[in-house]
Amino acid sequence: MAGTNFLFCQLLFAALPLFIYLGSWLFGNLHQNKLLLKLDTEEKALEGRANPVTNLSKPSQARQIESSSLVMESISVGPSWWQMMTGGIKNLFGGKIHSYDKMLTYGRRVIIHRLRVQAIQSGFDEVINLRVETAMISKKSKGDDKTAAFEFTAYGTAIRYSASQD
Amino acid sequence: MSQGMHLSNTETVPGKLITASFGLVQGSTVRAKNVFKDIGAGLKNMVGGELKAYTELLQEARNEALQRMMMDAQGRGANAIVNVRFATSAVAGGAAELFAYGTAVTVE
Repeated sequence: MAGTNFLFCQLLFAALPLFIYLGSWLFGNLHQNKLLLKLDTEEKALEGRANPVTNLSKPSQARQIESSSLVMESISVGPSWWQMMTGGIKNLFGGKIHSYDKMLTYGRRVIIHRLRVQAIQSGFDEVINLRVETAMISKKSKGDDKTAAFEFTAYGTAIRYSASQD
Repeated sequence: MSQGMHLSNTETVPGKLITASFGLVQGSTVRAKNVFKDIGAGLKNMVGGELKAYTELLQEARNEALQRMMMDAQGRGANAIVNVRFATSAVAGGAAELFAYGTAVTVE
C-alpha cells in the first residue's frame, strides 16, 4: 500500500512541470482573452469619433495653434510561460512564431488607444509625429530567468488649435 | 514637469518661432526594481499580459530622464526642447537605462 502511494507521489512530482505549463496555457489564454476583449470594447466606444493620432510631422490644419505638449504612454507586456515555451520550440524550426504575436500586438494597440484617450480627455485636437518604440527588458545574461517582457512606448506632440477660426 | 518648458518631438514647437538654439541636451537614469517585485513579475509572467511593476518602473524612470534633460536645458537658458527622442536599454538583469535627448532652443 505504501509502495503504491510512493509511486503515485513520484508520478505527481514528475508531472508537476506539465501541470504548470498546462495551467499557464489555460489561465494565460483566459487572462489574455479578457484583456483583448476589454480593449475591443474600449475601442468600440470610440468608434465613429475622429482619430486624432497621426505620425505626420506637421499639423494637418493650417490653423492658429494655441498650445502643444509632449504626450506619452507606455506599457510592458509579457507572453505567458506556455507561449514562451511553444515559441522556443518553434524557434528551432524557424518560420512564424504565432505565440508571441498576441501580446506584442496587444501592447502596441493598447498604448496607441490610451494615447488617443489621453488626447481626447485633455482636449487636444491632434497628436502628430507619433513614434512607437519597443524595448526588451529583464533578459538576464545568465541563469534561467523566466521573465521576458517587452516595453512599448508611444509618444507624440499633442496640439490644441485656437478656438477662433482664421 | 518644469514650469514653462515646451517639449515637442517635432522639428519645431508647433505654432511658435525658434529664435535661438543651444545644442543637444540629454538626461538619463538607470533603475531597477527590488527583487520581490521581480519575483512577482516572474509569477505574473505565467499568464502573460501587462506586467504592472515594470510599467511603473519604466514610467518613473522615463519621467526622471525627462526631468534631467529639462534641467540641462534650463541651465543653458532655453525654454523649449524640440525633437525629443527616447531610448531604452537593458544594462543588467532587471535594470533598465532610460535615455531622453533633444535640442534645446528658445521660442518666442
